[in-house]
Amino acid sequence: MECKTVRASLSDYLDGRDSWLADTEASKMEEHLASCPGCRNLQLELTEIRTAARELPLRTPPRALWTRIVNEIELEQALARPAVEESAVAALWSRLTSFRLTFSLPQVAGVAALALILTAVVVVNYRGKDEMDFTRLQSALIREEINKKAEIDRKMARIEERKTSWDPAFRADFERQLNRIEESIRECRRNLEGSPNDLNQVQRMLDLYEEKKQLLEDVERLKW
Amino acid sequence: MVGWMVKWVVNVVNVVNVVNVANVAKWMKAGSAERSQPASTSDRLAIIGPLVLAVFSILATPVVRSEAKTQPVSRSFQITPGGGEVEVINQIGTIRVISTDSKPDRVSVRAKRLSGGSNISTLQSPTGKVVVEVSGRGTVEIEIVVPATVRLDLLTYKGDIAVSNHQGQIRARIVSDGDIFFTGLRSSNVEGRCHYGNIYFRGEPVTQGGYLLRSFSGQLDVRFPTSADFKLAVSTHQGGLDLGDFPLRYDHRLRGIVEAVAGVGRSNVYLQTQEGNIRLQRLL
Repeated sequence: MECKTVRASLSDYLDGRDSWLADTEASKMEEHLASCPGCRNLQLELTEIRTAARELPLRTPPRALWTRIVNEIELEQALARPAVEESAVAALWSRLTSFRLTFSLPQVAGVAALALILTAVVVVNYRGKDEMDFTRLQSALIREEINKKAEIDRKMARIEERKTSWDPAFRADFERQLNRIEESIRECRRNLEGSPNDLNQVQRMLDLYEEKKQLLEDVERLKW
Repeated sequence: MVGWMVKWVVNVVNVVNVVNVANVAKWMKAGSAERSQPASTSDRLAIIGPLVLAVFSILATPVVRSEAKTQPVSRSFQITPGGGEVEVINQIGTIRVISTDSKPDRVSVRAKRLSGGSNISTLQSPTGKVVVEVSGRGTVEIEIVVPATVRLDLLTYKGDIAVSNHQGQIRARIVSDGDIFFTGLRSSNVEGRCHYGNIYFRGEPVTQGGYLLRSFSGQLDVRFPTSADFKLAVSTHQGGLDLGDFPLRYDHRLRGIVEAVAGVGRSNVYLQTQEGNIRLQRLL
């Protein structure tokens, strides 16, 4: 083996990376080092450098150094790209899509608990709204009944006095209309007893009271 | 009928009294001796003649009175331009309102009895309100010509109500049978109510306007231009609902109760029935 070949592989040989060398080549290198003083001196110098280097203290590079190195690498890569510039939106999208969140188990549990609470709040609010509407309508119905009852009774008393002088056909027609409204009110009340949260029936009841009040007002005005 | 019979009986009594008075006067002239003697032919004629005339007059009286009652009532009233109020109360028969911009200070009333013996009164209150009121039985057809801005309050027991091209506030009510027709309205405040009848509305809801149409068992047929801008509240409890032809954004829909918006909701429209169908369509 020649000196040139031995010196080219000497560093690897000393690093212990001699496995790449075939056993025959490693034997030839050892034979050459034993017989060649120049190569043996080089082997000794390299061995001393390696030993001295191992004894040096381990120094951690500052974080800023790594950031600067990364920036320089990215800049070099950007300059190396084709001259097609990405739009700001695309860059943002790229950054967003490359952004990854990692959660620990407690964090995941916290997020789940928060989601559960929010869902519960939404459900309770929705049901609360429904109940609030119903309460509003029920209150309106009760108020309407109280307010209208006295008014309707007064009107009915006046009409009853006058009814005897009415034309029989008019009287029969009026009573038919009134009975129809009152029958609807009774039906509506039965429905509400069966399903007290039926907003449709509550609204219907309010409409029927208004209908009855208007009928009495109009008939009073007609002066039969 | 009872009133007519009472009058007839009164007239008969009056005639009998007249005849008696004539006889008494004749007998007084002839002296007490003649009272026991049988009457002569001339005396009989003297008694029968007025009696025949009296009977004829009795029979003729209702005819003359009836003719007078069928004469149409026609009156005209001066009102303040740009304001004024007209109230019409009918018993049976139609009320037709024709709005015009040509006579801003004049309300003209024409009422025609079609049957029966109704009384028609027309008056103007000190505040300027014109009142047309029918009392008693009978069918009366009323037509009024009003300035477009007048406030209208219309009520009838049976019969149609028709209002066209009006701009002022309208309140129209039918207690029993009859339809309401609103056409070409520009009014910002309309209320129409009836029991068995239908309500037809053709017009455009005005900004800040309010429109309430209600029927117990009749139908509501409403047509607005496509550009109409309004909030809609509909309720029907046993009737059908057809809002399919109009571009609406629904806020709430629960069986027969619907709340929706067309445009940004610049006016309020309420449609209500108990049993009747409700239909809202575009006015083409």
